Parts: sequence; C-alpha cells; structure tokens
Amino acid sequence: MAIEDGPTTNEEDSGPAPGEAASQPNQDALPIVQGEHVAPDPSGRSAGGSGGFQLAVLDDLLNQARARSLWPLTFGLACCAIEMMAAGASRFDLDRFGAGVFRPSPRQADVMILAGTISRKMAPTIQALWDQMPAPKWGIAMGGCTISGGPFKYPAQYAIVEGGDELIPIDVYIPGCPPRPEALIQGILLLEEKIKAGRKFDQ
Amino acid sequence: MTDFGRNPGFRNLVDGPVLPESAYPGEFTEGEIVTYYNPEKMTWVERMYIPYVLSGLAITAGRFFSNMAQWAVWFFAWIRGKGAETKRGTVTIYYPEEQRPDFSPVNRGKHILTQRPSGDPQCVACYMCATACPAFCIHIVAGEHPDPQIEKYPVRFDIEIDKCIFCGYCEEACPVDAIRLTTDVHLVDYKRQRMVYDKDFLLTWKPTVVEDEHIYPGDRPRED
Repeated sequence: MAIEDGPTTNEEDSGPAPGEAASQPNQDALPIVQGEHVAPDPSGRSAGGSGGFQLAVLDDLLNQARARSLWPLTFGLACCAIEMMAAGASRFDLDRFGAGVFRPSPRQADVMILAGTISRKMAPTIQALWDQMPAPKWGIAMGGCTISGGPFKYPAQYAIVEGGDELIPIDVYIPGCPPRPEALIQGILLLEEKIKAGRKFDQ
Repeated sequence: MTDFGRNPGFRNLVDGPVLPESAYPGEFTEGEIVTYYNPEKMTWVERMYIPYVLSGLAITAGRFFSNMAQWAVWFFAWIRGKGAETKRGTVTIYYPEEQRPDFSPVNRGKHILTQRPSGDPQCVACYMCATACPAFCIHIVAGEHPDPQIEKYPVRFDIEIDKCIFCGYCEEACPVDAIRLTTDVHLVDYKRQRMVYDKDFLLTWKPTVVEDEHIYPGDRPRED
C-alpha cells in the first residue's frame, strides 16, 4: 500500500487519472535502508498537512491489528521449546491472545521466539530464518541461554552464542530456566503493549 | 556363523584394510569394511501412507473424545450435585486473571534477601552462595559491619537474573538463611541491562513472618 503526500513527478509524464496516480508508489520518496529492523515511515508525517492525523489513526489501527495477531514461528532450539509448546496447548491457550498460530514458514510469521540455547552451529540458520520473515517482525528471547548464554557462558567457551541479541534484534527478554508458560504469556503481553504503543513506546 | 542380529538390508563392502577387533564377536570377518545404511525399501503398508495418516488422526481424535467423555462424566455428576469432587476434563487457565490452582508452592522464581528487624540484609557476605552457583551469577562485595556482633555485610549484592538457572543451590548453601527463592515468575523486561538485580531491589518485598528476631517471607512454608 503506497502512502502519498504530494503529487509525484511521474504523474505528469504518464498522465493517468488522478485516482490512479495516487496509488502509484513514489520511488524517490521511499529510501530503502539495508539491514533496518523497521521500515522507514513513508507517510512523512513530520512534513505536516492534513493527511497526518488520518494516517496516525490508521497507523494505530494497524498496530492494534498487529498486536492481536502475533503469529510465532514454529521454531524450538532446546528445552525452553517444551514450555513454549505447553503455553500453546490447551491448558495455557496462547490462542486467547491471537499468538497461538505457530507458522511453519518464516514467510508467514511475525514473531520469532528464540526458545533455547543458541549454538554457534545453529546461528546461521537463525539468521537466515530471521531474514526470511516479512518486515514488521519481532523477537522474543526466552530463557537464560538465549538472553546471555546462561550457565554455558564462561571464559574461553567456544560453542554458544552469548545472547540472542548478537544475531537478531530482541524486543522482550524472558528470564527463567526454562520460564514457565505463565512467564511466556507475560512476555507476549508485554510485546503486545510495545506494538500497540508504536512509536510512542517508551521503555 | 549365522547372520543372526544382522539386518539383511545392510550391504557389505569387501575391500580395504583390516578392521580392529569388533565389540561383537562374529559381527565382522577378517579383511572386511562394513558400511551401514538404512534399508531403502518400505513395506507396502508404509508406501500406502494412509494407515499412518489414520493412526495419527486416531491419536488426536482419541484425546478429543476422552476429554469430551471426562466432561460428560463431570456433567452428570454435577447434575447429581457431586460436581465439586468429580474430575473435570482439560480446563484452560485464563492466566493473567487467574493463577493455576496447582501452581507449585515451592516453585523457584525471583530471589529475595531476608532481613533483620532493622531492615539490613541478614547476609553475612560469606560468598557461599556465589561459590555454589553453577551459573556464576551472584556477585558480592563484602564490607565490615559497624556492629561488632556482626562480622561482615554485603556492600553490593548483585544477581544476574538473566544468567540464573533457578536451581536453588544458593539458598541451600546459605548458612544464615539470607537468600530465598520466591514463587514469583514475573521477571519479563524489555531491556537486558535491567536484569541485574541489586541489593535494594532484592530487599523490597513484603515481610510477613517474624520469628527468632528475623523476618521471613510468608508466602513459603519454612522447611527445616
């Protein structure tokens, strides 16, 4: 969906109807930033104009929708994944928060729950899966090993990535070894608050 | 020697150097290199796939119907007024609003430091918990206490909650019962930098039980 503020330059060249011109993306106004977690805001709200308020409301609606339909990636690394499965099962139903739809494909997933020890052998796979996920995406670090390396972190260790935030941007950290399903639910609720706040989010 | 115990799907390659002595006598012959791989052939039942699909569906449906049967048994017991003591089927816990009724009272969660009545920590900075910690997440800086009856006290007492594995060895090792693990599991945060709990934070809990001139948390029964 293209969001336009002013008339584009290619509007006069091709000469389409005004309704069609507004739907064409302006290639110059949207800089593509490599390696950026969140796409740059194309609405140009800081430039002022009457469209700003409407886009802000639309943005909030989008954030509400995103927060209430967090689809995690079916991706367990170690023992924390057992608790993740327990949280998705009927006793602690993650579907009550819209986060129970575990997707087997990263193309359909919104949030990656890093559940377990990240070995150096697994790190490229995590990187590839994260890169395959579409743009509004979030990361949850579940368990001590994923946050900081946990008990496997000691001088001169060679097998463990010391923290999931060395690989992907992490939004919510859930300590525990492993965290109970209650703690995972708490983390997902915290992530929902962060998404709903949008750019007004203050840590 | 018979081929007893050997899969007929395995194939032998008879060239190369002599193998060392086998752990199983009769497994290898002299001058033989054995390459193992899984047999490629599937039986006709496996090739049909449908029996295995049906068996998988049977597991799922079995769970569903057994759960439903349990609920039906409970319902008829509830009609007769015996609903409270009859076992029910699977029940979803609406977590943020309600806690599990069978939440373990000895679940190991957030740490606390027990206090003296003056509010000082009961800890004597003996480093036994930091030594016992398998994750090396407790960091203590000891200082001399002004009271001559008490030898040392912790100037700093930091727990890296992100490295902690909640094993409970620290409270087992403590000689003065100064550190305890509560059942609190709400440790979630947005920032990794905030996951080092200092002494002031570990001392902020509601003291409820006072005995032997010491203050203890009341949410856990004291086990001696």
